Amino acid sequence: MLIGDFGTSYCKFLDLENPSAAPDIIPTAAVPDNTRVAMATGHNGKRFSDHYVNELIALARGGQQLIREKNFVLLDCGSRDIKFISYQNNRLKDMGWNAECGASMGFTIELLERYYNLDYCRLPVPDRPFSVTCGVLGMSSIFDAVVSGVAVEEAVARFVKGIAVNAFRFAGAPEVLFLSGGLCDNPLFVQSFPCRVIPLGRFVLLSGLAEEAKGQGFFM
Amino acid sequence: MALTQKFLDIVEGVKSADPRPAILPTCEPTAGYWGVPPRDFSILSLFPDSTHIYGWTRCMENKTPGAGDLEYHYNPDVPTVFFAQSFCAKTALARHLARLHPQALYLDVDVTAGSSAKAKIQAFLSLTEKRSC
Repeated sequence: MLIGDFGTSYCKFLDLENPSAAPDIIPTAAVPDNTRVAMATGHNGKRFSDHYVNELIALARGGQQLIREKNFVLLDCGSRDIKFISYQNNRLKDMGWNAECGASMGFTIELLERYYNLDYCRLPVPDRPFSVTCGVLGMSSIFDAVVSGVAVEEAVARFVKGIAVNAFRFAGAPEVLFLSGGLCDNPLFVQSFPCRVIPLGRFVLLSGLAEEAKGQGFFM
Repeated sequence: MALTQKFLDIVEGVKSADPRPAILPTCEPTAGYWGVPPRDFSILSLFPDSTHIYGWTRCMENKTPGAGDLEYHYNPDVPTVFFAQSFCAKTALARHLARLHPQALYLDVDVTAGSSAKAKIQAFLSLTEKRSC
């Protein structure tokens, strides 16, 4: 039984009948239109399955599965949006999903890496961030800084830190933040948060979807 | 009765100054909606039929729009969406009461509810629902 997290930039698949197998990651643009899965989540998920689970539910179920704490804040930074779930004493406390002002943060970070041929593993965390409201509007800060003599690497790093600070505040400024999504693999982004960050990787929604599939009796 | 129909009846009721006689059957609440009637009624279809209405909508139904005690009332035992229409004067009260309620979702919606607002309601109701083991 195949389930899928259909993100804006990447799709993640898991075969629940083969639990030892690692999830597959495929660029969204390379996923065939006729792909069908038993259960789906993610921005594009409704197109590929009759059983869609909304991303906040998948994120929460994934967090409950992966985080062995009664209190936690879990933030998912995707290509297109950011969303968080907060639990207190094992009960849902707060949540948020910003698809508008959080627009294209992850997407823009990846785009800038390719455009400027950067390696985020080698960029140091800057002292101060840009004040960016979203990926698109933040781009102009980079160009303005470069024009005024700031090195491209420094400007992009400030932009990335600005996005991290934005996401941190959006999640309620917790002392410890569990992080989900592809940006977990970006050390500059992870280290730019002004709090302790515990990266959980890019399969949290997929784990939550698997839990939801079990809960709904799709898979025992 | 579906929540949308409840709201339609309450809104329709403003045409008369007399409170509607309480002849409808009651139900145990499993969810709560606190606030003014939303501009976009489509969000109401996301709630279960057993949703109870609180806040200014209740004042409206009761023909007592200035009844503060009735407006401030909520049920702490029921997961409740504290709805605020952007730029409405009730927004601050919704935010305040959502902080006091042990299981609340504060939701601020502009003209129409976007997909993320609807997803938040759906997720909140699903994640606060008591699951049978």
